[in-house]
Amino acid sequence: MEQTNEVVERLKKLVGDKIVEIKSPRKRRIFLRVEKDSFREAVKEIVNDMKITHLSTITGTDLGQEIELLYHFAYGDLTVLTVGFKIPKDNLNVRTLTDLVPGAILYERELHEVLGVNFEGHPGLLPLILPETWPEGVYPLRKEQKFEDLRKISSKS
Amino acid sequence: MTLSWARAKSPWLIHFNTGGCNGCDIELVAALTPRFDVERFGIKLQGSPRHADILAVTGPVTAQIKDRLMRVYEQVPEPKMVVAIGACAISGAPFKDCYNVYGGIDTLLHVDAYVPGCPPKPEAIIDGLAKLIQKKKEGDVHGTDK
Repeated sequence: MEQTNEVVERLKKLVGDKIVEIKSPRKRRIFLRVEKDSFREAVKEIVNDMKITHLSTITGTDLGQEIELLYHFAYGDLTVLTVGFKIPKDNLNVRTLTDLVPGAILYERELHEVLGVNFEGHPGLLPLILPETWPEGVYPLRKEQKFEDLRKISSKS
Repeated sequence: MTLSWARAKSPWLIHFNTGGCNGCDIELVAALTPRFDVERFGIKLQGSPRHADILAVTGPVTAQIKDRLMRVYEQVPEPKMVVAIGACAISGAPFKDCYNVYGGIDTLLHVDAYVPGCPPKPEAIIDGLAKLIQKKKEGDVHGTDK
């Protein structure tokens, strides 16, 4: 517990003014929520100063009016630090993280494909997991997508 | 007769995952390696479908992998056999009716043996392969060059 607490204190010191919420519900698990504009600065501190460089995955969730992005960093004795922020659905532009964390390249491609998040500055936002014939602009993990419509698209392609 | 005898002695495998979770693949690898050792039946994993007789498929067949599966299947020389390993390969299992999943190998190809399980034990896979060999011995293979 001590170690996790230490990291929480250090995070508060390093990125204190950017934090919307920080909590550690149990040992080896930290959640950090920031604003979209300060996210990049926060990750810079985490990667460069705290040397937490392993991004295990990025998860995206459709919350209705917003899309929430959660970046899961893993380090040390299986501690997971999740840094997250929300973006409104009418402006889905986010700066890419690939220049700071090269491992983000595939996760960002996937999110672009299934949720329509546009990562500015990404070296190639090509389709990754959907079939080649999949139409542009149809995002299967959006809440407004009907299952029947997706099936129709899939059977056509 | 001689041909089917010869073929039953060296059923070479090509393994293809069509979007499975890797569970069946681990069991298949266990069946191939020394602990269960299917090589005593002459079954060997090949690196290229062009050298194989049996296409061992795991996974529910996603829309993206469909064309690749067909391409690999076409490269296997005749007479070829297909074995569907695991619940996904048989019916699509939890992914059945998913918008990007075909649901089972037999929606696309003729399947000669089904090995159920999630994942099937190596013993079950060996049983399925032994039944395939029996089919081969009897000359019960589909394709033009029997």
